[in-house]
Formats: sequence, structure tokens, C-alpha cells
Amino acid sequence: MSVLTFKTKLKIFFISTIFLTFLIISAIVVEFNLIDLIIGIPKIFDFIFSLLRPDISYFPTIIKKLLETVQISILGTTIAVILAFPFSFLASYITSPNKFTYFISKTFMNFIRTIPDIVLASFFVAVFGIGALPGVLAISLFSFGIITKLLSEDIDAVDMNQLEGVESTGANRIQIIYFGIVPQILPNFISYALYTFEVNVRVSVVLGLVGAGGIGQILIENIRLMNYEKVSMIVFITFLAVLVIDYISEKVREKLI
Amino acid sequence: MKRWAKFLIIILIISVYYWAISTIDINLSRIVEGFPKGVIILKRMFINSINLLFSEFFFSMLIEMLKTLFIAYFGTFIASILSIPFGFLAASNFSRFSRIFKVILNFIRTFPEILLAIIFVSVVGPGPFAGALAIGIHSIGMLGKLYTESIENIDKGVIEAVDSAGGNFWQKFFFAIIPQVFVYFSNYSIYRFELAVRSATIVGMVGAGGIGTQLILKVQNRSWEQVGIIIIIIIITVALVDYISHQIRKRLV
Repeated sequence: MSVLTFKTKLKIFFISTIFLTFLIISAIVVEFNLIDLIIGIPKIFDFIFSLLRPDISYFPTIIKKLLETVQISILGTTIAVILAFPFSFLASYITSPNKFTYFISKTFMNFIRTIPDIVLASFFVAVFGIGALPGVLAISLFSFGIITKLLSEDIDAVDMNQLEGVESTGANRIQIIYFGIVPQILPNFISYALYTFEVNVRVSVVLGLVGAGGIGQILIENIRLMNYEKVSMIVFITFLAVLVIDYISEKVREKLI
Repeated sequence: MKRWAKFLIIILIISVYYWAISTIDINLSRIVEGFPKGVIILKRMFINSINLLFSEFFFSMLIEMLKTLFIAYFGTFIASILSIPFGFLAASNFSRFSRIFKVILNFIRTFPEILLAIIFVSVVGPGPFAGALAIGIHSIGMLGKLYTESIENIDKGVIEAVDSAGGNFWQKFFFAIIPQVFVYFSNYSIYRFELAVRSATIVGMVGAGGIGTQLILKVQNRSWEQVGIIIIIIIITVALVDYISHQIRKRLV
């Protein structure tokens, strides 16, 4: 192994030591226990087998709450899309009126993205009470961050030749944006909206845990009551729904691009 | 014909929105009433909470945050190890069953993390181990896919060279394949760790330990000052982790 210089060897040794130390500490912190895991594995089968004797009477409740989750995602995504579109132009250095608005909007966007969605939801639940409304608001704000980030970066990367073309015809600022930029970013914009919707269906499952409506609400209720048969039914049906929605949205996105 | 299709799509969209809005309990009076409440809560979270800064509570939450970081670390480690066999099995240039494994990876990726956490809490009991397992299994979906892509881009010539020198399977693996993909694998794993930190806080809310568990407790008690402190800790930590991981990955590639 004389191919490696002493310095590289030292570096490799140093990095792997850090890596292993963290690994050992994390194993202790998470109370890693292989025996617990092996003993527990049959419980996964319990989880699956309880699906074989489903409680049919509970089925309509699950579907109703699942549809509520979809509704929350649709409305939340739509509000986000409507707000994000104009805002993205402020957060791009090409179209922002001046450096100050660019900086402020960029910072605001990054700040929103760091707040965990569940925190936003808990806040809105506290303000507006339990129900779908806080869910919609939390999702709008959260998706607003994602879409604005993606879209403003697209505007940054826009083809400048087309802009100059429109500009040379004597167009004003709004016309330049409308004829020069919008056609270039529109397909991506729709694709982002659909992608965010996909993510939001999953997010709204989580949000329900803190009382923001939808399937998460009955999920946490049944976990607290230790109705594991109902929990496994909800988990299974939710997974199926997510799978179907992802599939449809993916197909639509493929057609768009 | 095309006009009809457009018309149908518009009708469809309108009815979807009608359905979505009509069944949800959104009314303006609730929004208006909520505003002053929201201001009070925000004030409690981010202004009144200053008293709690550097208090005993603050430091105990820092420790919980550290715990969450280690849950994410361990989860990412599990995923990085398990994604290697998955990556090879799903790579079209190494496996005959690549299609099946790509579908399996897709399934894993779509399974919501929070549901996995619930399952693991019932398997190994509530605690950080359940959280780490949930993150570990969920992350295979994305890491496995990224690993597969870098394996599919491998230069076959190097493998043939080791082969012609008389190298056996393991020698080919360690001298021709791993050196080619190692940088990509570590890059993706570090990136996945960034995401795992976020999910570790959320997974904590169904009883999987760390700062998430504390957060949901304080939210349920409506102790907004403490919630504010926890949020600030989470935001700063996430930003810090993103920054550090970005720096490491920049040097790596």
C-alpha cells in the first residue's frame, strides 16, 4: 500500500475515526438493540395479518377522511401556486425590481422552508382550532416555499436571447416578462405544482397528527386507543392512495414535458 | 375535437375545486377571529421566550436536538449499507431483475415515513431506535435509486482489466467497482443525512424520541414559549447541518 502518501493515509485515518466515533455514539443514543428487532419482527406480520380480517364497518370513515386529505392538498397546493407565481419574480435576480426586494424575498423564502411543516400546522391549529382549515394554511405556506425556490431558480436560468428579442421590439417590463419569460418557465411551473401536490398528500397525513384534519387525525386517535387493527387498515389504504396519486401525477407530468 | 377536450378538462377542474371547497369547513369569520390569537401566540413564541434562552430548559432541548441528529445519523447509516445490495440488484448492467428491484425501490420511496415510524414503534416499542429504523428503511427508497444510477454509469473497462489480471469476484468488487462509485455513494449519503435530520424531528412526534417528541408535548400543553425555543433550535440546527454538509460535498466532488 505504498501508493498512498503519508498525508493521505493520515487523512483517511482521521476521517474514518470521526465516522466510527459518531457511529458508536449514535448506536448508543438510539439504543440499538438487535434482539429487540428480531423479537419484534413477528409483530410486522401481525400488522399484515390483521389486514386479512378487516373491519368493513370502519371502511367508510377511512375513505371519508382520506378524501378530506386529498381536498386539503388540492386547496393548499392551489393557494401556494397562486402566491408563488408572482413572488418567484421578486426572488429572481433577473426580474426583481432592485437588490433590496431580491434580498428580502429570497431570505423570506429560505426562512419559510426551514420551518418544519408540522410546526406550521401546530401553529395554525392553535390559532384557528382543529379542522381542515389549519391544514390548508400550513400546506399553502409550506408549498409556497418549495415552488418559489424552484421557480425563481428557473427564472434565473432563463434564455437571455429571447428576452433581448422581446426587449428590442420596445416592450415594457411586464410585456418582457409575459412574452419573454413566462413561456419558458410555464411547463416547469405546472410540473412543480403537480409534484408539490404529490408531496402534499403525504404531508397532510402528517399534519393530521396535530389536528389539522384528514386521515392523520383518525390515525393518531387509533394509535392512542391502541386499535392496531384499525391502524394497519388505515396505513394500508393510505399507502394505496398515495401510490395511485403519485402514479397519475407522474403520468400527467410526463405528458407535459 | 380538440376544443371539446379542452372544454371537458375545464369542466373537470371546476368540479374538482367545487368538491374540494364545498366539503371543507372554511369560513371567513374563523379566519378573522384567529388573527389576534395568532399574534399573541407568535409574541409568546418568539418574544416572551427570550427569558428561556440559556435556561435549563434550553440546554435540555439542545441535548434532545443532538439526540435527533444521532437518530438521523444512525438511520442514514442503515440506509447507506442496505442501499448497496439494492443498488446493484436494481442496476440494469449488473442484475437480471433490475426492473423488479426498481419497482420495489419505488414502493419503498412512496411509503410515507410517518407510517413506517408507526409500524416500527409497534415493533421495537417507542423510542429512538424505532425512529432510526423508520428513517433507515425509508431512505433506502431514494438512496437505492441514486446508487443504482451511479452503478449504471460505471466504466466496464476497469472491471475487465482486473478480470484479465486474474482477479476474483471480490477483487473485482473492491478494486474495480467500489473506487468508481465510492465518491458518489458518500455524496448521496451525506445529502440524504440532511433530509434525515428533518424527518427525524417529524418521526419523533409519533413517539420515536428526540426533539420531535418534546415538540409535540409542548404543543399539546400550549406552552408556546417553549415551542418557540424548540423551533428556533430546530431551524438553526437544520441550517447549520445543510451548510456543513454542503461544504463537505463540495470538497468531495
